[in-house]
Amino acid sequence: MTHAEAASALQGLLGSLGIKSAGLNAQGLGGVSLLAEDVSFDHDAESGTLTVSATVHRFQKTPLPRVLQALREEAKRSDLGGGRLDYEPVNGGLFLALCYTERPTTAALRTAMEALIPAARRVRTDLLPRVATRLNGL
Amino acid sequence: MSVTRVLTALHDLALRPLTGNVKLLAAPNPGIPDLKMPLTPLPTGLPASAYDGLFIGGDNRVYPRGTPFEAVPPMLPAQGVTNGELILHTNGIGESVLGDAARMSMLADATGSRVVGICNASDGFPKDVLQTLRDRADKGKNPAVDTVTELIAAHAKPGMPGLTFSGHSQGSLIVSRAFADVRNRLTLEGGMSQSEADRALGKFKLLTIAGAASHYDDAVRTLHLVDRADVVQLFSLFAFGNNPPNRLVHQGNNSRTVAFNTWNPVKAHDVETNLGHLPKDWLKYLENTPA
Repeated sequence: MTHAEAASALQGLLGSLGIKSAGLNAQGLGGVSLLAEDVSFDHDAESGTLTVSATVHRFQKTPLPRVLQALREEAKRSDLGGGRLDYEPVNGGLFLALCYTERPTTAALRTAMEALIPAARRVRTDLLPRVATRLNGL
Repeated sequence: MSVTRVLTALHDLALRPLTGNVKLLAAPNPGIPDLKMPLTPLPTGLPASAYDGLFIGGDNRVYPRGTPFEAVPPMLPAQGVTNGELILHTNGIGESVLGDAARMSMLADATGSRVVGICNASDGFPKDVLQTLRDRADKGKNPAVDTVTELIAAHAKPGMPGLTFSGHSQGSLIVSRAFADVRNRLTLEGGMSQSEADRALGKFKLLTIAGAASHYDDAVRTLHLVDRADVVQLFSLFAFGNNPPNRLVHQGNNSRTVAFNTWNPVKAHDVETNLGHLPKDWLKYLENTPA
């Protein structure tokens, strides 16, 4: 998917939310803030992939490998709203992410976002505390 | 109580911040805000996103990032301060800075406390954040949540006093998320057990006014004002309240709910309507919530 195709798909999504937007900036980034939750759009020009990511947590420092390992194990047993748990070292963000290599429809993007946002909330308030309890105790 | 009357009172008391071309100075001691430093509020009329996550004073002005909340001139109750609380209030749906100040005034009058606002520029509607994304390091930032999170994290440290927050509507979502973020920081990143995190967060108080969140921290001493006629709360599943218990909502183990029904869906979500049902001994409610 090209930058223009990804931007056009996101313009459709954001338009359905009442937002007039370019969808992506020159760096291939975009996003929407909705009810105190954040969804980011990230287009990788090299692979042609568009990633839609709902923020779960932002680490202040690099998480210990055992923390990431425990999060991944717990994620396998959890409802992630169709996304996968993704840690991005460049921003310390833990996201629920969905990737598209072909241009998605507005309806598909909207359905995905509507599933990712509540899932990100659940992961923040249920999964992360469960993992912390497993690692550090009650 | 009108905003004008409060502002006039503030002017009379010479509580207006100093203005001028003065840069903010770093506090001499890290962690201890320099309350004497000169303050320069931001100009009015900027795009809403320029104010997101910043403090709003009782003078109806917004202060730049980095300004300690203790240095911001608070909104004062018209009848005078009746307690030592300083409430950090996050606004909800569809409120401009001017609207925020009006609701801060209502909150100050109803509680007898000083109030400083935290600007939630997203005003309840989806917002495009494309313009604020410079590179991938910015992914997932939320200025209003980040401000509340940093305040809680700083005051959760041993020896620091707790803080009192309030949130109207979406403002409660922001505060609720910030407490969840700090709990996860303390435990996943700081290695604390949940009971240690409970102790760190148990010194905070929260008043939710027509709150739109459906999950609240278990340690924070919380008082929920819930109008059963509020359709916004109905969508957040909170309007069912706690009697009978609502399994779809986690209102926090250390919370109390004051539920009422105005039978007026038009006014049910308003700050004014909900504060009309704030118990006179609201502070005792918060301080005596079951631990």
